[in-house]
Amino acid sequence: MNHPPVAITGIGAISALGTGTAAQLEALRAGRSGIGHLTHLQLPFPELWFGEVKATNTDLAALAGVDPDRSRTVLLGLVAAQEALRDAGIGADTVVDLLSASTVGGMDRSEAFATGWMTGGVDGIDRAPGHAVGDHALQLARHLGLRGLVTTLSTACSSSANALMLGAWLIRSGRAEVVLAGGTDALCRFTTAGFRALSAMDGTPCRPFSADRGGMNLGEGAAYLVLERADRAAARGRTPLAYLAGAANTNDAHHQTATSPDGEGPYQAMRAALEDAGRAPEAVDLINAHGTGTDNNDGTEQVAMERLFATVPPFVSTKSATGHTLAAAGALEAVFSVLAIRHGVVPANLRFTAPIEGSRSAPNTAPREARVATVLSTSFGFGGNDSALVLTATP
Amino acid sequence: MIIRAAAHYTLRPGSGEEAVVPGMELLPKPMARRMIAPVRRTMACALAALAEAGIERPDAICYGTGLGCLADTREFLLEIERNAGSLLAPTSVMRSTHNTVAGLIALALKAQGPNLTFSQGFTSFHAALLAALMHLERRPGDRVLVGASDEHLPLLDHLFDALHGAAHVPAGARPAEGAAFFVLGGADGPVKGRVVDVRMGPADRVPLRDDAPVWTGALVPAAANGASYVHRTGLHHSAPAVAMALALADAGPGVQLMDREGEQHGLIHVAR
Repeated sequence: MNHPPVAITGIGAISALGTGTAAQLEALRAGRSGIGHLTHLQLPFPELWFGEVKATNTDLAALAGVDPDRSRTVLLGLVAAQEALRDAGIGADTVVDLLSASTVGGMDRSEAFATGWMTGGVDGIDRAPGHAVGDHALQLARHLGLRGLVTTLSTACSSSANALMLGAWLIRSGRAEVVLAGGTDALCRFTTAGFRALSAMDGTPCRPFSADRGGMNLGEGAAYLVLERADRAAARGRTPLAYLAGAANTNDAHHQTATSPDGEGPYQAMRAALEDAGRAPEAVDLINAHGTGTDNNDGTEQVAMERLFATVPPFVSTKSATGHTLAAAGALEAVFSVLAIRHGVVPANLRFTAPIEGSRSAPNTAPREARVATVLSTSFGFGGNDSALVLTATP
Repeated sequence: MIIRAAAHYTLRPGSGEEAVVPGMELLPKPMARRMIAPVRRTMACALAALAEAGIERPDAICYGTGLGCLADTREFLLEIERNAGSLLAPTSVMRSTHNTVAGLIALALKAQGPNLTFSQGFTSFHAALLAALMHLERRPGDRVLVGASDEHLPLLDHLFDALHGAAHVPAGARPAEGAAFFVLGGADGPVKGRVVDVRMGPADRVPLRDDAPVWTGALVPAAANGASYVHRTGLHHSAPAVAMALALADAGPGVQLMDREGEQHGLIHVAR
């Protein structure tokens, strides 16, 4: 390892488990689920199960200190990003680069005008620029007063894992000293109708890695992490929460929306991330798995884990508690990984029923205390996109 | 960083001009049949760059797009409106993610390396190029396919006419479709030029040099030592990539391409 270590000096999150990292930790420790029917969002899916953030846009705007007339994606992102910067003690005097991730961006506002500006009308046309997925990042940078590079990663469900990887690259290459990296996605009609059209939704609360799993529950949320060159953090007297020791992205090159039976892309991503971190598979104490709850994902992901590890370490899908937060998932689960390391907690894979046929491993089903020094966190997405992060207690 | 190959096209709807799209003969037929036309043209352009560089499979793919798969996104939104409550066709939503094009290139070529997609308006390609440079600094022998593409829909003409107040667009320039792809890195092969520098950030972090002319994009006023490139590339978020291909083809020591998206500026300095 001939590059400077990348320290994590601040974290922020909002999800179905609550607002703020303390609420996430409390829920993970208690094994509490955030899955339920919608109570705050006006979407026409009363029968479906979601990981909804229990706040209206007005509530979120008040938390973020902004006008609520903007995409929920931006509001969620602001709440999490503000917490991360505050946690890191980073003020306006520091140049911070922003690598943000989203899949839907301003879609929650665009979809109300599908028969307006999208079809030649002028109804809602002033909102059209907010449709572009990258616009959310510019709004975040503006409200946070960031003065560095701003860009948006959009690689479907691996987006924010890739934002964290790029953040590490910026710091290791000497291009940046402090990077705010993460992702945000709000629930909306487009993604809900989309995953339903793909028959990927469970009609009940999801059961990742179970033999009788029936699909995913969609979630929403945002999570951001402050990445900082370790010697800079030390120079200003900050003890890192953890380190982003390694990261990798690969492509399965098998199918637009399904993983290959042997899990080659996920396997290579996990292998390469550990190699990047200079860690052997035996060092991994916990795998924060992608585990969407779909037949294809969980089966192939478990095959990939069993290929890489002689004995698969404890693994969990926290999507059983949060739902699948799409572009936010990689960063949200990186925050959970940091919490696992900091507080010695192994979260639960909720609602597990029975092992997948032919598997020789099973997820951790109840929260427990344990020493956690190394976490492997995975995120896979459409387009064959596979990412893995290695988060550690020491550089 | 050495540029081994470059391919580009611009399609100007309603202009009467025929777009010259490189690489159409290279498309795998069964796959091409399932693609909508702009994705087929983009894919052909990427394959043309790889063919020029003499490689079958890049070690990494870095891609940018301002608006992603706009036609499929709009199609699925309209499908939701039309058939609310009933089962919807999944084809358009499967193809609607921003990384569809980069994923399809990987699928066609069995390219299993890093596959990154960036979307930040007129600075989308800059981020892809920066990622490619960082990948090559880590793995100097690798060959990276880097590019950008954006579709055109009549919807964009509608928005342009209603909202284009802030744009510095030469007379007559209209929303267009376009793409450009490049092969960077590798220990040997043809040399087309080089990327001298890529910078992104607010204006104060993107300093211009005075020893190379400045070509400016749609949201940047023309510089004293240069001109807008938009009349040559057409107006679309991947125009900076097309402009880089044009700059490589032009004589001269180098060109600085300056673009902007909101407060973000993007600068690419290329030389032959």
